[in-house]
Amino acid sequence: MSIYINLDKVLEDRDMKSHELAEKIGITRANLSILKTGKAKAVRFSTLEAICEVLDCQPGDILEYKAD
Amino acid sequence: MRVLQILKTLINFLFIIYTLVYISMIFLCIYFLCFEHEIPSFLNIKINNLRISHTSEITETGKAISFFITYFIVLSLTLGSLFFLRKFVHDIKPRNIFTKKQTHYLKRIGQCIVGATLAKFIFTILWRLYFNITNGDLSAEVYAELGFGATDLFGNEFFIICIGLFFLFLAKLFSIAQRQKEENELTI
Repeated sequence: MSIYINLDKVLEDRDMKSHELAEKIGITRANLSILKTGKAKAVRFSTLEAICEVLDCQPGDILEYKAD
Repeated sequence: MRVLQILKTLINFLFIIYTLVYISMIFLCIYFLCFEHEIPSFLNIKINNLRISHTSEITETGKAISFFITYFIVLSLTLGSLFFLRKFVHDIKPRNIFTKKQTHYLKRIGQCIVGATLAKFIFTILWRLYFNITNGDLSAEVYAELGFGATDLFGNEFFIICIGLFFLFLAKLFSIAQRQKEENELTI
């Protein structure tokens, strides 16, 4: 996959732990881990919206395209 | 899932019966090769329309051995299809569906059904040819029967091959479903 998830970096900038984010956006830690490790096949708009709202960022801050 | 329970029971029953037939055929073959060298009088088998009994043409050891080989190939493939069908049906559970294993089983069922039907059909033609030639009757009509009767659809080779191909197609569908299920599970 050429799409990379920069959630770790954004979380570090916001000084927030993964489990806190998972609780706030209402997904399980396991699912957040799948998202962070890049194993996810798709992200729902509702999930992306919740992440952006909680972390006060843009989708582009979390998702990045890099050509393989 | 009551239908599944009935299916499981029926397949188990068929599998046990066919396994017993298979094992008894092995013993019969050993008995025949070691002691009799002739088809026992109680044996009366019919493959397609070729009757195998002590009164038929197959009385020589060579012919009988080739008959047993034919019989074993067809029976092994039939038993194989039942074996994989049994595994497939036992593997299916409401929470465990569209797995790689199930796709593999469906593929094997299809291959075994097509293989067994083709083997049965080809061997019947070869046997007819063989008997006509060894009997010295080269002018005799060599024919292969394909039934298209209205009441005997399940005895028709083409229909059985269709069922086998359907299983192969089902394996492809399972493979697609398995990918989509995986994608759905990995959607956050």
